[in-house]
Amino acid sequence: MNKTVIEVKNLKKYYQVYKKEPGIAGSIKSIFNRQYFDVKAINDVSFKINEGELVGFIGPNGAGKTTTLKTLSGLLYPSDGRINVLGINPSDRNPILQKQFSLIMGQKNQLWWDLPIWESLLLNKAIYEIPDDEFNQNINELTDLLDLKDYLHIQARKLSLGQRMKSELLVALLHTPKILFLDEPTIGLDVVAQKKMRDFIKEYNHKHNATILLTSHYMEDVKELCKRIIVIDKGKIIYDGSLEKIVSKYAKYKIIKIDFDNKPDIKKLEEIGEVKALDDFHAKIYVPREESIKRAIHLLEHFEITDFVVEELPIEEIIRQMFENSK
Amino acid sequence: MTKFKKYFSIFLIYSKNTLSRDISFRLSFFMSLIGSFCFVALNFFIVYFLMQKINIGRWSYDEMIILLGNFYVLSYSIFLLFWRGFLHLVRDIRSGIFDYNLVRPVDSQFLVSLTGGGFHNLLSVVFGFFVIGWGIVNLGSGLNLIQIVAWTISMLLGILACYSYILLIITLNFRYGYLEEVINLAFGFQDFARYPIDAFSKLPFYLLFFAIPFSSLTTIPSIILIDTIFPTSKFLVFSVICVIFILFVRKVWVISLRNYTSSS
Repeated sequence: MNKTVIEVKNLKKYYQVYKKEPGIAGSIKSIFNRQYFDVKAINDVSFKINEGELVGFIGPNGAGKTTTLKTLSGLLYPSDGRINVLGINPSDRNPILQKQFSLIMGQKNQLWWDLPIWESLLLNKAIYEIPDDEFNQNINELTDLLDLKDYLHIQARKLSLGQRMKSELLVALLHTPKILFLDEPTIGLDVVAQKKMRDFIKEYNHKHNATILLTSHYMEDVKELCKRIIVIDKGKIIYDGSLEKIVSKYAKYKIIKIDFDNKPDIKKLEEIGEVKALDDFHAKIYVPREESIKRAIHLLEHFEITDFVVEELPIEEIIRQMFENSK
Repeated sequence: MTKFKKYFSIFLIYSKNTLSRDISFRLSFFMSLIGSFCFVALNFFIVYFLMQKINIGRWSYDEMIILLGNFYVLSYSIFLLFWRGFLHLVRDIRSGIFDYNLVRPVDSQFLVSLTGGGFHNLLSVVFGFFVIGWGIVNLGSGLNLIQIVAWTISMLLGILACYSYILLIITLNFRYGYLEEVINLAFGFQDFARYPIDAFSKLPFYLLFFAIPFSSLTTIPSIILIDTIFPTSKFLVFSVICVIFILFVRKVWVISLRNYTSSS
């Protein structure tokens, strides 16, 4: 059985922010009188993650995903609750723990902007006290995997966004961390670069049995990488389990996609289910999940069709429904 | 020792990278060098001509030269070692890049303090030493080993105390955000160190609150070099206050990090 490497119990992180009225008058008023209120960024969150797991952390903007990652990495102090990462409380900012994880934030960079990537690598070598042979071996391995060999001596600011993001990964993984906190690692990348990044993360996870906690707004990232997802909204976990189970648990509908011989009668079609898309020879209908077989049979009996397929709702749709239900 | 070696090697890498970056922007680099030469030329003029007209309390011309030399060493060591790192820190706190400093297995105060040198200021520091030497030669009293050791200690403590004061102001950024102008003001207070404590005897109390501490950072090292009888009590009181202040600011830094809220 895999051992637990991250354990979070009743974690809370509250911020105090003030309400500012709009305009210059509001700004002046705020000098003398500020009304503060608490924002519950994380509100009583508990979970465990085992060694080697690749977990997707998903939720809408402001749900508390990034705050959770920052608290797990010891960057933020929790307001309440307990965190244990590799047996150490990250709030202690213990170098023994800090040498075993990496935090990568897709929207922030740690590379020396005006210098070649190589200089950032040398700096991290000194910071993480990586021996020469290990450094050389890791550089060879990672630059191969990330296809970065030709870019190490180019200034970071001259690289494309995709190359820069890969360089961020290279620098962050130089010390072979056991745990990776990835906050939107594919943000802003084109489809090809996103795919390469996902392939790399998967490979790193397999090769080093690394534990990875990943947040992303791109469901492709989550679908391709994570068997388990944690869905968070308004600082609370609303789902923690396998990606497959979320479908059976939360999807109320299935989709029937149909190709017709002739243009179908729309009124008769609406008897099958909710028609979401329709043109002369194709239709997409949402049917209640538990009646999908019955409705499909009805369809076959009453329409002249050339082809049809019954599909699960896209994961994005299910999660959107979850968020709507949680409001 | 291993820890010192690690930190020293990180400091060297940062220094090398900062210098490489500065040199890569050739025009800016040469302009800053020219600026430093102009600074030295202008200040040589000030020292050689203008200072002869100024008379402050018991301080003779040669003694004022020594004090001014101490000011150059103190002030431009701060610029040489810390200035750019502090400016970046204010920006990095706002942009969230500072976050990376907190997850690295290196002391965060070290990372934000000693990682953005301004190398063109080295010339001004060297000029400061030259001015001190000039004043000592003019005084003709010479220096003994105790004076040299005590001066080195007091100057190092002075630089660290001055640095700690600016760091203290910067930690307010964690709570209040965007204090760039206040930091400029903090650097501005260094100018009190250009004159001996005697110069401020008639200032109102609230100004003395800033003037005396900064002024003492150069007055005490200068007295150590000038006085024929070693100022033991002044040196000890100065050293103890500096050490307490430096440790206090370290504590404030650690506590402030607990309240750091990061940027989204």
